[in-house]
Amino acid sequence: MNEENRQMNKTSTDEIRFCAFCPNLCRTNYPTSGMPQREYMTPSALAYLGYAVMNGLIQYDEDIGDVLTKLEAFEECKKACLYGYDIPSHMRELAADLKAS
Amino acid sequence: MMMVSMKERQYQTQDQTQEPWFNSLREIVGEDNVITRFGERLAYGRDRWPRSNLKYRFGNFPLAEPYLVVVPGTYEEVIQLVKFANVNRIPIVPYGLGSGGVGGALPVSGGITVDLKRLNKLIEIDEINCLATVQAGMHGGLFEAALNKRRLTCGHFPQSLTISSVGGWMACRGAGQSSTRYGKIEDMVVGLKAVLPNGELMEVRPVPRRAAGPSIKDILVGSEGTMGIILEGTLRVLPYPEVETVHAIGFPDYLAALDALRKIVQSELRPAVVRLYDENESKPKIADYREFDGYPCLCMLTFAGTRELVEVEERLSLRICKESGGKEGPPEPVHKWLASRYEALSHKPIFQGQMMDTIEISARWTDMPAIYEEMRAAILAVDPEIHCGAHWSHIYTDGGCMYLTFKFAAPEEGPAEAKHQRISEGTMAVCLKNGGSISHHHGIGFFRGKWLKEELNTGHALLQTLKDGIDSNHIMNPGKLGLR
Repeated sequence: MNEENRQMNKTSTDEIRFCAFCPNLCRTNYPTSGMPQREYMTPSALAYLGYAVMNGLIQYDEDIGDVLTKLEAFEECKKACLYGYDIPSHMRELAADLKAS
Repeated sequence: MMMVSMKERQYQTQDQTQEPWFNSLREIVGEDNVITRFGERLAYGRDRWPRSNLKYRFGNFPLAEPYLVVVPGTYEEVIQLVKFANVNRIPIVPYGLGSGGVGGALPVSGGITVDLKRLNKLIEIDEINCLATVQAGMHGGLFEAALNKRRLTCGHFPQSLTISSVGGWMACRGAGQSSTRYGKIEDMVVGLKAVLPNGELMEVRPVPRRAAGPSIKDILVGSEGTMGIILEGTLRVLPYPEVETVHAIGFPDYLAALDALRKIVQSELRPAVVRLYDENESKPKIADYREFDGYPCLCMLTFAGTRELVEVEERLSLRICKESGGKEGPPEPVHKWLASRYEALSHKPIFQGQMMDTIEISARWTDMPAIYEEMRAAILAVDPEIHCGAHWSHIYTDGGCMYLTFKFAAPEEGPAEAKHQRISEGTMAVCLKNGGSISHHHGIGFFRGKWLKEELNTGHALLQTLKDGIDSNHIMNPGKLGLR
C-alpha cells in the first residue's frame, strides 16, 4: 500500500504526515502514570509509523499492525493538539485499511 | 555517510532475544520494559536534529538503527544496566523526550537505548531554600506547572518546554527564553545524582557555592550522556513573579539595538526576556504596525519580579533604548510571541518539503557584528535563495547568543543533506575564526563534534582522557561531543 492506492482521503494522510514530523507539541497530556512511558506510544512516533507504511518506507506486517493500534496515550494527547486534528481517527482508519488489504 | 535503510533493516536485524545476554538484561528491568519490535524501536532512531528528520522522511536511519530499548524504573536498575553494558561491551544511549536538535540521543553504532521516562517524579520542593529535586525523565512543562502551584517558578523556559525533560535540559546545558534574568540551566542546577560509566552512583550534594575542587557537577551538566546518566537534579527555584510587563521597541538597525542591550545588561539591569530580531525576522512581526516605520529591527523586552523592582528596571532599560535610537511601539508583537512561545516550528517546513535548522552561537559584544554578517554571507554563498534570519535572545555583560535560522527547499535527501553540510561547515568556520562558541544551548550531540575539537583544542583532549578514565570500555553514548 502507498499513498497512490490508499483508501483514505488526502486530508487524513496529510494530517498524519504533519503529525509524523511534529515534535509532539501535545505531549504534556501524555499521562505520567497508569500508562506505559514509551516513546513509541507518542503521537509523532505512531503517526510516523503510519506515514512510513503508507509511503512504502517500511513493510506492513502483524507486528507493525499491532503497534499502530496502541492509541491510548495518543487519544489523551489529541485533546492538546494545537491544530485541532483528530489523528487517532485517521490512524484507526489506516490500521483498518492495512489489515484489510 | 553510509545509508541505513529502514526497509532493509526491518527484517535483517538479528533477533535480540537470541543474544546470549538477553535474559540477563530482561531480569534487570523486567520483560515488559525491554523493547525489541522494529515498529517500536523506530521511535528511538531520530530526535529533533533536522538531518534525522530529513532521513526519516525518506525512510533511512540518520546514523544507526536502535538495536534494543530498555525502560528502567529505578536508579538501581540504571546502575545494573550500566554494569551490564560494561560486562557485555554494548554501547548505551540515554534518551529523555527526544527533543534535542543535534543528534545527542541517537545511536551511532546500535546498542541499547535507555529511555528514562519512567523516572519522572518530582521528589521534593524545599520552599525555605528555594530548591526543587526532580527526576531526570520528568516532563519540563509539568515540572514548571507543579512549581507554579506552589507559587514558584524554575525560570527555565526553553521553546521546547513542553517537549523536553528536565534531564535533557541538564544533559545539553540548555537555556530558556528568560535566561537574562534567571540564568542558564548550569546556574540553576546545584546538585545531582548520576550513574557513572563504570556503574557507580555519584551524588553531588546541593550547596549554594563551594571551593572544593573543580565543579564535579559540570562534568555531567552538558555531557550529553557521555560521562554518565543523570538520574535527578536539585535546581534553584524562585518565587513566582508578582508582575510581568512587556515592551516592543523598534531600532533603526541591529547595531544600535545591540548597543542598547549591552548597556542595559552592563547597567546591572536584568530584563526577563530579551529578543532582538534582525530585519528579516522583524518584518513579519511588525508589518501590521506603522509605528515601526523607519525602525525595522524589533526588540522585545519583558520584566518580571516584584512590582517596585520591575518599575525601576523597565524605566531605566527603556531610557537606554531611547538614548540608543530606539522607539517604543505597540506591545502586540510581544503578546503574539508570548502566545506561541513554546510552539517549536520545525515540522511545518518539513511538511512543506523544506529543511530548516538553527545555529545558536555565543560571542563577545565586539565579535558579534562580524559573526552575524559573515555567517549570513556563508549561508547565502551556498545558495542566495536560502531564507535566513537571526535574533539575539540571551545577553550577558560580556556578550550574548545569536540564533540564526535558515531553511531551503529539500525535495531530495542527498542534495539537501549536502547543502546542509556546506552551510554548517561555512558557518561553524566563521564562528570559530571570530572567537565564538559553536553552541550556546543546543549542545554538540553527534553533529557538532568535529567543530568542538577545534573550539576546545587541548581541552577536548582533556575531556577524552577523563572519559577514557571512567569509561574504559567506551560504552557511554560514544560518538557524541566528538568523544569515543
